[in-house]
Amino acid sequence: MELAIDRLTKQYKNKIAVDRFSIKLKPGVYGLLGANGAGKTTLMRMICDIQKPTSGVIKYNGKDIKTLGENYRNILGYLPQDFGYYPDFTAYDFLMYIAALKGLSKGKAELKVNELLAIVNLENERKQKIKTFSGGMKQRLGIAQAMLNNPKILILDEPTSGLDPKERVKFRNLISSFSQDKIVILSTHIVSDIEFIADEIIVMKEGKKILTGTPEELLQNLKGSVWKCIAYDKKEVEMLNNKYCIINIHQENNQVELRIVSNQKPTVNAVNIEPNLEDLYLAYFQEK
Amino acid sequence: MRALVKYELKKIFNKKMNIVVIISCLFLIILLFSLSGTDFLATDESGESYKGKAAIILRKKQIKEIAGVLTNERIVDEIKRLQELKNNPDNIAIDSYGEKDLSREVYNKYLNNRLNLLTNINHVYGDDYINGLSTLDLENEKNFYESREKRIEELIVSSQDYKGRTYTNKEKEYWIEKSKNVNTPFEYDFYFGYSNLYSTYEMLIIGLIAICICISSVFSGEYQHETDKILLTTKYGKSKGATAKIIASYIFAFILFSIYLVSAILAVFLMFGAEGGNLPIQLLNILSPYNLTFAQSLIYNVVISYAVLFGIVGLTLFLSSKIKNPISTLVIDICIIMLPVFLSIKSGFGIINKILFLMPYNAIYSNFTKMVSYKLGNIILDLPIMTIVTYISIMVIALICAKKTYSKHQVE
Repeated sequence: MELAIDRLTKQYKNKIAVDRFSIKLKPGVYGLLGANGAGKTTLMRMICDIQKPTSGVIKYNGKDIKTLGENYRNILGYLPQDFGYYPDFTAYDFLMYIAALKGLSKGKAELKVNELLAIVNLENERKQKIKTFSGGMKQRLGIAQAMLNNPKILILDEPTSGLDPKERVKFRNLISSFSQDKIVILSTHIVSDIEFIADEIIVMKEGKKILTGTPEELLQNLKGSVWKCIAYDKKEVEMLNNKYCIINIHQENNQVELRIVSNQKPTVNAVNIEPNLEDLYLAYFQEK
Repeated sequence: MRALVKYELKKIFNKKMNIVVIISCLFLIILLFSLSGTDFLATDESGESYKGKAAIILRKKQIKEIAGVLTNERIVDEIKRLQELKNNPDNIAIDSYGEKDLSREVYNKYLNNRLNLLTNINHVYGDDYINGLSTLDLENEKNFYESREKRIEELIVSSQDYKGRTYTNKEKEYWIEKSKNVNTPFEYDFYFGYSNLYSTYEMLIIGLIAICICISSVFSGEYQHETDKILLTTKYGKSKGATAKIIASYIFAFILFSIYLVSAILAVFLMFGAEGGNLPIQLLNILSPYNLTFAQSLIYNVVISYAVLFGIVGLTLFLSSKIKNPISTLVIDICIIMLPVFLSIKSGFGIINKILFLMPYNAIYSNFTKMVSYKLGNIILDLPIMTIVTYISIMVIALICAKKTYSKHQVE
């Protein structure tokens, strides 16, 4: 199974949202990382065939997804970043409706809906109207609908937004158990989510793919560039902030502990530490 | 597909706004159609006035007294009687306009229950009240039905609008031929259920507007509430999903309009009764060229109404698939539906007038008296047929476009 994206471009008047994006995706979990406006959502929508690219092509197993039509959508699951529900539908009705649109027979749909409601912990709320749901509950319902057809390609745009830490852990486990032999692409601002479940990370900036690799590969590039150092007064913190990319500032007693990404040792007392994905994200996206 | 249609219907009925509109319009329709009965007036021989059900009973009794086949002899007798009364100075008085006319007593005793009949017969001899009959030379009046045909022919040949436009020769032939096929002699009896139903029939447009309000968000609601992002990525979201929306809209429109239609008919018929179905529609206008009974004309009108409904539903769905905001869809819909209310049209010769005749408010009901025709190549179609053809065509084209637009919709 392969999803190949070839020089995909989306242009809105004067703005290029996605710029000649190419990649070949094999089964695995892909974390799409990028700042707001980097083009992640536009890219995902084009993969889902709900936005037309200005140029470029997306092929599933060598065939253009446009020509595959229903056959492509049959193996697709999508959780959009912002989307609406039918407030007067119950959770069960909503999932049954989407299941019908996904072509599941009534019997199969009932089994799958009950199974997913249990997985996303909405079993007791199945007969409640969606308008009574909290943001997190709606998000869990959204995750359930995306997985109804056991999709081979699962696209999740900010799936963990609105979920509490416990739910996020549950979601990560769900994706990990689900992703075997499937292509899962997820975008998130919560870097730790990607760190835990992504096999490969795709970093996007201004519509372009600027980096890809496993978390280990990407972090390897940062090895020796992440420092922990102590500053003793406000003036020194200010000076370091102007000069380096500061990842974290932590005040403790009369001193300030700083986490800095830099190729050079920022201070005499700086100690080299293990980089993480947050360092990578901020190193690439912090505006200087 | 059944499940999808069920959920689409659920979406329509789940909206509180829709329920309010549906119920309000039902009450409004029942009220408007009942008014023809509750406000009905009749006067007896002594000049005493009655209103509502009592007036209807009195009127029915009066009509029954003069009911029967309108043979040539019967019509001549009626005219002769009128002339005799008018020619007798004892029967004449000065009316409120200062004109000489039959006195109130004679009017109440003789003319009151015959006025509809005589006014209608008078159309063959002139346009004005019953004056044509009063001065008619009965010596030369051999056959009423021949005179009627002659009059229709004259109207067809001489009709022209302010720009001098007339019927084409083919149209003239069509109408003269159609008119000749009308069964005569006419039978006269009580038909007020039908005539009063027809006098308010256009008000069913309220039901049409209610349906448009309810379905204006069928497609655009998905765009507006961003549910399109999920629906259009599902296997059948762009195909069966769109078809289900269309089917559900039509089921909803058909059921609701049928409820409105039946309520309207019942509101009138419960007051006036449904009798008169076998009588010719010429009792409404003697010059009508359509060979139809009242019952047939009602069926014909129901078919026309459904054709208009289906066309407008198709158009609404197309607009809904194209425009993100349901309010905009609704505004366009209402403009199309209500435009003819503000424009008066008399002839059907100019292209704009011909189009106006086909606009929903004018087209939803036909009284089968207008001789408006459309030339499509060598074929001549009269207004009712053209209405059906037009709205069914609109429906087919609009639905193809709606489905295509929705399936190609790009999320924002």
